[in-house]
Amino acid sequence: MPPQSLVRAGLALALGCLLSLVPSDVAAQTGTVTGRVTASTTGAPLDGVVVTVQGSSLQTFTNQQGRFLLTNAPVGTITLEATRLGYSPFTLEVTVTAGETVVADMEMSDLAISMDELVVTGTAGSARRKEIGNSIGVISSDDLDAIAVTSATDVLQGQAPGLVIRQTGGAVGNGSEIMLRGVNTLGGPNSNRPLIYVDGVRIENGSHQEADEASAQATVFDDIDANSIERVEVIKGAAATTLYGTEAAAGVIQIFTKGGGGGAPQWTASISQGFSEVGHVGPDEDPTGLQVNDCSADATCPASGTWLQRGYLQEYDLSVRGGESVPWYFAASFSDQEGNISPQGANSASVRANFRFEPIDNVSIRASNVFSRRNITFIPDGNNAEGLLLNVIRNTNDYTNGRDALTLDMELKQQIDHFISGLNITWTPTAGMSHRLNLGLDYISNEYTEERPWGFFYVPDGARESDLANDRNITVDYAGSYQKDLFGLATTTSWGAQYYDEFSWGLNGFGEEFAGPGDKLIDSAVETSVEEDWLRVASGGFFLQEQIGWNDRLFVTLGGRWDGFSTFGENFGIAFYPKISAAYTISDHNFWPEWWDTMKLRGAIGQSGRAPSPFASKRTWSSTSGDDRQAAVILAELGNEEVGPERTREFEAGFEALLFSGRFSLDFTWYDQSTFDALLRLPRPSSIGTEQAILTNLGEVANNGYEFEATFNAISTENFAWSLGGNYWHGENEIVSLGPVTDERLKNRPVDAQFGDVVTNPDAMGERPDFEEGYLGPARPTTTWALNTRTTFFQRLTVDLMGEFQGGHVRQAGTARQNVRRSYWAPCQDVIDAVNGGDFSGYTASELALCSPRDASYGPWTQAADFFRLRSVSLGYRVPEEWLPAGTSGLTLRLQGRNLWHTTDWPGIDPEGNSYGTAANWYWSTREYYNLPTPRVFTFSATVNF
Amino acid sequence: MTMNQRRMLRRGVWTLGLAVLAAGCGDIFDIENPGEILDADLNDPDLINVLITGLSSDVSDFVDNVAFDVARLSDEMAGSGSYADTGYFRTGWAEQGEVNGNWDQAHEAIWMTELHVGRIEGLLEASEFQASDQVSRAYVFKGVAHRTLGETYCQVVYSNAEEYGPLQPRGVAFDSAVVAFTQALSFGSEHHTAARAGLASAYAAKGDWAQAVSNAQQVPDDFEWYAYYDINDNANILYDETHDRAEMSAINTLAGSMSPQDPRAPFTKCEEGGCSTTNGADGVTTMWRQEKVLDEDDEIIILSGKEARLIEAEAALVAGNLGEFTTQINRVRALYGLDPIAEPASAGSLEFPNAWDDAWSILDGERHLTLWLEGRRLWDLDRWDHPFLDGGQIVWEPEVRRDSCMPVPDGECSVNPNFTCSEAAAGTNSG
Repeated sequence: MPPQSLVRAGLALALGCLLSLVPSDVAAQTGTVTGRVTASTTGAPLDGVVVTVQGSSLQTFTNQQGRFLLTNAPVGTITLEATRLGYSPFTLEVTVTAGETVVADMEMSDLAISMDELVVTGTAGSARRKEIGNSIGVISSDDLDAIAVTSATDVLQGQAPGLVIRQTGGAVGNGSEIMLRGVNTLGGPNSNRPLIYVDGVRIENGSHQEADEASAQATVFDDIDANSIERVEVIKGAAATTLYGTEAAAGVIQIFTKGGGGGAPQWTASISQGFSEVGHVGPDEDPTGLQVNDCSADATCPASGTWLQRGYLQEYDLSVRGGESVPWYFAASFSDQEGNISPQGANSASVRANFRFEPIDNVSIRASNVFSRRNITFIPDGNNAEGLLLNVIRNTNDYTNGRDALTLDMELKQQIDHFISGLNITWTPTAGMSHRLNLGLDYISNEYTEERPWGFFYVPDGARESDLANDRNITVDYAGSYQKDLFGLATTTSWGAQYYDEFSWGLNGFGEEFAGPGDKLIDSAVETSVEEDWLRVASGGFFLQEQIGWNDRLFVTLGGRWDGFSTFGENFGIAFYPKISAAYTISDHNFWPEWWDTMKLRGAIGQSGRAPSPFASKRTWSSTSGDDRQAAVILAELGNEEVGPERTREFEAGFEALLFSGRFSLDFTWYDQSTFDALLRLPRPSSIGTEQAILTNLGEVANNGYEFEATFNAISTENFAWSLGGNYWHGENEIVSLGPVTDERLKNRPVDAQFGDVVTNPDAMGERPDFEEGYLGPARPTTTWALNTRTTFFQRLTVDLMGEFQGGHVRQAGTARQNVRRSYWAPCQDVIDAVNGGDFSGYTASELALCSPRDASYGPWTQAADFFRLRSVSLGYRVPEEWLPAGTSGLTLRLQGRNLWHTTDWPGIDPEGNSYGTAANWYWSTREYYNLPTPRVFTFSATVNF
Repeated sequence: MTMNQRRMLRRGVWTLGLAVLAAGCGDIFDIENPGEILDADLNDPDLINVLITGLSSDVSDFVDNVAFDVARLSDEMAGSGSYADTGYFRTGWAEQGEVNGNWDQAHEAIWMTELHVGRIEGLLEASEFQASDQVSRAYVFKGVAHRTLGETYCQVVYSNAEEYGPLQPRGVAFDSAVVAFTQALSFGSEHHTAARAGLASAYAAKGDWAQAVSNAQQVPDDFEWYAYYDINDNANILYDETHDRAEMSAINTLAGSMSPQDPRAPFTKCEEGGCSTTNGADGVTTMWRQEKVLDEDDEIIILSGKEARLIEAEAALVAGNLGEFTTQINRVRALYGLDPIAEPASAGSLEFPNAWDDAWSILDGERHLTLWLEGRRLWDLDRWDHPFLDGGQIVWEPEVRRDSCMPVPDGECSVNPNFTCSEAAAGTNSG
């Protein structure tokens, strides 16, 4: 079925379900219950708490003041239950009298670690935290409200130990790389990405097609509307991801979006206005900011005298939720963001419809559907002779001859449509048995165009390229479980099967040499070419799992997953991944000290995998042309019929502790991963007749580290509360083996090791540097930590700060090196002048290796890139109810900033700058090269409930 | 829920679950990609042309790369770009890590010939096989690949999947080229002139001037055999790297010194207009853009009558026959509408820069300009021990002794246990 038809089918399905919505009924002899729900540690009101009358479908939500109103409550004694993700459920009995209003205030325990918290990621069904033997990171909507968020990836940054977000440039629309627990594969950055699920639907986990001339890539994760996220679960390694099988060795991130309920519609509208700005670019010694801040020397410089501008941004969100028997949630958002160099910019819009209904007893169907569109305007940038910043920063030694704005005649536009539709069916035929079926469609349509108009300075006859790409991924995921007490033990048997079908199609058209000015189509060009890509890969597997619980304290889980995959060799067969884990809440024993609230010990060992690339198992040929456009075939892949998945085995152990009545929490994990049968292209001498290397299961990689997360509610009074939190991760990886021809240079080095020129005569005065290749460091951070603090005054005014450190890695300051070669880099100017003047006797070889136009090499410019960045500052004020106009139940004002300040010793422009997006190899993806640094962002928002 | 509903739901769930499990045994796990062709599908006589055209494409892959590398490493062009290999090549250093591509691709063309010829032999009757022009063409390509290895690399290595080979003198490549070109003569008929042109150059490289002349004489003046390029799948990088980018410049070169310009080596002085940039991609070298390759789909000559004449001229010069030398040189010049030269007074010797004052200087200049940007210059510098090699400078300060050939690359020596990378780099600045 063509992708368009699938989308139509998905939309029809969603529409059909929407039409099934029916109004809720109203009871007769009833009373009213009202009250306020607050957090036990801070006393702050809690919004979004579901307050349910047990034994009925009657429920409501609390507003921003924590208040709720239940009309039509049945008379008599009823039990109210308050539930909210991240909090322990709270129940309260009240007596309702017909026609009267009863007040029922509730205080929910907002413990950082709750053993009763339900999680679903990495488990066969849902499980309580106390049953899980591996670590799991949870980010709740509470956390999200407290941080400044400009993209969905911001939701993750600094929020969990071992979760590293690497930005790929400061241009609007540029994406980020997500990494969990470092690097454990030889397959490069693209193989090291975690799987992403949204409401049970697996979505693309990588980047959209590259905006070539912008050296930028938007990432799929950022298609998600951050405001619709209710909760994020993160499992980081093979010990936890076994049930996901092949492709899950880099971890799994699951997004849960908001749901409906609460009866009458509750509206939330928010408006956000703000701007981003880039400060001084490059070395402080250069007052012009590398000609970026001050471009008056360029004949085409904007009238403002700078290439930079404040990029205004605005966002509008509207959501409504309600329903009783059919809880529903609708949301729409629109945002527009100007870039810091005109005409950079992006706008996005999304609409979401989530609802749940029970067509028959014990069967619940939840549907979640979202459509988003992003339009991004890039400018030519990065490693690009036609790029703006390359020509600006190289000053006069460039391609534009002092007319840098000519580069902006090139138009680069991308439109991304993304549709995610999921249907989650649960059936609970008996109290102990449940079945869950997830059906999902992830569809992306992507259009990217590059247009060099006729008369363009670099291609005078003009050129146009149009890239169309579609991805269609289908998820079918079934899991069942059966609980039974046997011999005093609680047993849960689980089973399930998954099928994932991934289809991608792309068409690239290119034309150059137009007859004259005006709008063009590709076929207007003299020279045209076209390329098409088409690929479908399928995978599937099933699992069995047995969990045994003793006294609700000790849980042992044993499981296995069997997988088939399109890309396995014909002689390989089925992959099997085992797991075993144990969780022991030792604090449930009577001997445990009272001040130590909770202590859970846990350990898990499990395997997961990564699939070989398509066609790695078969010898194939590609169609091409030769002899002046005659049909031809050339070798595409040698093929290896034995190839199977690479496997990562992980052992992790740790504990979760809560002390002093929930004031202090600590979550610690140590992990040790070993990736064996690692997929690598077995290098052989080309003199055998081919440069093609066979993909083979030969390598071995070790990856280990530890992580912890702590929270401390230092002060908690009615009028003042102050809490501190933080997380820390340190991890290291190394190549153990690359098979029979292991290069000793690489052995025991990190997978992402960077090599380059090292000066062998560093102190030699007046001598030009001698170089030899040496190890420079890993390309990705090996240590990260984040600190956050929240201060609340009078339960209304909240100040949140979050800063993040990334370090232990190196980055290549490519811009600096290239500029030195062109005699323009202020910190080196004395050396440059001396060398160009012919007398460099006063400088050492190491100084010349950095700063001499003749000798500057990438090696010396590849340096430690540790940095600390103030990621988020947020000031929130909840307006008193009495100030609100009638019909309004809440108003919150927020002033927020992101990436406001950073410190680093790295010598380039921005320690997070990178002009190669999510490139496929470590080297290219660690290089700054004429790209815009990360901007500061300021926003002011108002959120109103009614 | 009624019993009936429950039964229906239970059946539905189990059916779905079993379908997913059963899928593991069926075709739903097959990869689908209409762009990829399975190996067995090529066993069809109708696809022989397609196979050999693919081989032609493989050869084209390295011919333009060799031409680009040789131009910057030799005295043909000044490396004016920002690529890492430009940084090495323009100083006369064929760095071992920067010379993998040509090595890999030339070896692939050799292996591909054996693979295709073996397949074709199985598809055709013996008589058809013997009469096959495509088989003949494949062997010419194989000869060209061997010749390229011999002319470009200081040492050669030949291996197969079961047994990796040792380092061998580059002369072995010329011997292999002779064998391949000779095999081409025993199949078909259409490509015999190309085979003769190849034999002439291979024998000349071996110093067997009698055989070289004998074969060269069978190649007409206007004969040309090409590596083909097209914008779709194999653009000529000589165009991209000089017109789209500014990676090498004719400034300070022999071509750049010709006034008026020699029609065999045309260029544009970018400071006078007509280019997108006046400086090279390195930002400092004045850009004089080559105009021999004018489009991405311009071909590169790999075998020709003009080279056959130059071989005959050189053979005459080696034999001391300046009259014959002059005749052959003027036959080449006539092809380009150039005035004939007078017979030089003496054989003389080579110098840098070229003074055009004797037969060797004339031969040097004529070969330089006639074969400009065809990837052949490095071999001339090496076999003649050209004075340019002793620190000859175009723009950038050179190594004391410039490399006249490329080392066996690190991609080979790092995985071939028969020698070390130092041994593989013998005779170059990487050694």
